Amino acid sequence: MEKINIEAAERSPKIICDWEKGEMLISGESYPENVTEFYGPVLASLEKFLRENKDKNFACTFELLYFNSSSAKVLMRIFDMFEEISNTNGHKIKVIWKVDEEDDNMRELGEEFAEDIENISFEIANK
Amino acid sequence: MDAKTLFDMHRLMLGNEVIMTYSGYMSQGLLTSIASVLKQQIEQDHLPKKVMRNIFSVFVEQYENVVRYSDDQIEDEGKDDVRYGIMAISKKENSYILNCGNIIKSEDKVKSLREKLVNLKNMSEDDLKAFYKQKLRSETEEGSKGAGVGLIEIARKSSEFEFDFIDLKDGTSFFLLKSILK
Repeated sequence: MEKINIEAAERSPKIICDWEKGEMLISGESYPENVTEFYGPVLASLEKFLRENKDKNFACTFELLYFNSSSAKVLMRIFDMFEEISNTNGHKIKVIWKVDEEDDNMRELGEEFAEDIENISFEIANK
Repeated sequence: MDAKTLFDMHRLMLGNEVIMTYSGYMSQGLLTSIASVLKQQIEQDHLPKKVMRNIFSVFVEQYENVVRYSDDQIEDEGKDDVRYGIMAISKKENSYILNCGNIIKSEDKVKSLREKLVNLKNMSEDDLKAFYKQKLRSETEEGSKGAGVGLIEIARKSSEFEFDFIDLKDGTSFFLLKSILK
């Protein structure tokens, strides 16, 4: 699969999916004009990759500064997808939620997502 | 309107410590510019990072609510939503007050929105969190173009919020939402 490399813009984050390495990064601010248009293709590729590479480890790093409620819905979809795939296929999926040390807000948002996680590793770390 | 009236409006806004106001048609494209100016402006106040984020967050959700749900719309097939609304951000002592308003053309919509907001107002922080997560997971409601979680986000990030529906006596209402952030 072809590597995804989306540059950050004013309202949308940088996204890198390096399938070879089994790594994904979402970094920056996320309140795109059209959430479905922006994230749709990325989510489709991600799901395809995970379902076709059941024996591969996968690490997904988030370095978000701000996300709106529509983007929160996308994040929830990603985590639920990880949970479901990891549960059924024995994948080792790891989420790293990186925050600035003094950004309690983003830390709390990460903790809220982490509360519902059972099957994958969800680590909150300082940048 | 004559120029003097505009000046009076300017004075009125200054008197209310309005730092930003917009009235007119709004689009997603316009949000990019307004948000970037607002961000620069609130950074000048050296607020705690959390308060700054919350102000920005409530502003974005209020703006998107108008762009998605105002019933005064420029119809242009294939183009993004352009809808009429009004927004104002003001300061009062250590609080920021964010107001938004738009027209709603059906009594059913008013009724359903009022119910949603009354429901949110009666929820505790924990209830709001649970409801927020439930809505993040649910399919998008019919007639809802956004994630349908914007209002919950506003309720969670605001220190207080109030709303009102002003009956315009022609079957339509003007919806007002006020968020106070401390």
